[in-house]
Amino acid sequence: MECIEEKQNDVVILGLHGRLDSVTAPVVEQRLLSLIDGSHRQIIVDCAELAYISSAGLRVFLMAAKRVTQRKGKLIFTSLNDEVRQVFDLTGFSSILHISPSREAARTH
Amino acid sequence: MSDIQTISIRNDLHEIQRVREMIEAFIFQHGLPVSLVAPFTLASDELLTNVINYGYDNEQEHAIHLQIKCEDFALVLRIEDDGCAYNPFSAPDPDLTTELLDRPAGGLGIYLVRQLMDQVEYDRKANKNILLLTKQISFGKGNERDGMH
Repeated sequence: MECIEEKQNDVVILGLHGRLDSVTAPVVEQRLLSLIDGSHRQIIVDCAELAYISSAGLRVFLMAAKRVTQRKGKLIFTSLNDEVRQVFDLTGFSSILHISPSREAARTH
Repeated sequence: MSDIQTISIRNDLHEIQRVREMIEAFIFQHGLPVSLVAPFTLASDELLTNVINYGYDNEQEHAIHLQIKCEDFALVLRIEDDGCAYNPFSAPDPDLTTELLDRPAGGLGIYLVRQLMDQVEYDRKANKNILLLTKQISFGKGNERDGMH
């Protein structure tokens, strides 16, 4: 799992490359938390290269979303592939997290 | 048709990848629908993560034995561990209707396993936990393009 950060004005885009599971979840949690606890109010998690997610990954996303809400920021997940989207749908995460089809769409959210 | 593949792994999260590779290889080698890969990969990941993280009351190395089998048009995965007696399927489903801030973080893994599999079973024999996951194989038209059903 590789986390690739990009800053575009006041938005930070975190690209997740690889699999988000019980092995890699701690690293992603750390990156997301440091972004949220930093000065970033708008965070886009780009999942275009996210091949797989398990409940360990969902928990990280859930924690991040709760934290961002408390800080009155915005967290959007973009470009989910079919498999990842299905895991979101099965667990009802599609209705509690902000999901956007692409980075561009997310920026105008 | 009955064919069996087995693997033993250590109680280490990094070993889960070997199970994924075995599952993929078995499904491809036997010409089974590709749509079976995702549900079995995810279900085994969830259950093995739980066993490895919570199943033992010591820091010792333990072996977990898996077996994948194709029988009577079903794919069956068996997971056997010597951890503490625990049936993961006895836990109630998490409440997935709550708002974000009230949403529980626990129970999602087992919930996913139940959604992905047609049948889940638990047994306790000779101080071992035995989990059985079964999914029917349907060689329907367009099956290759299906997601996880």
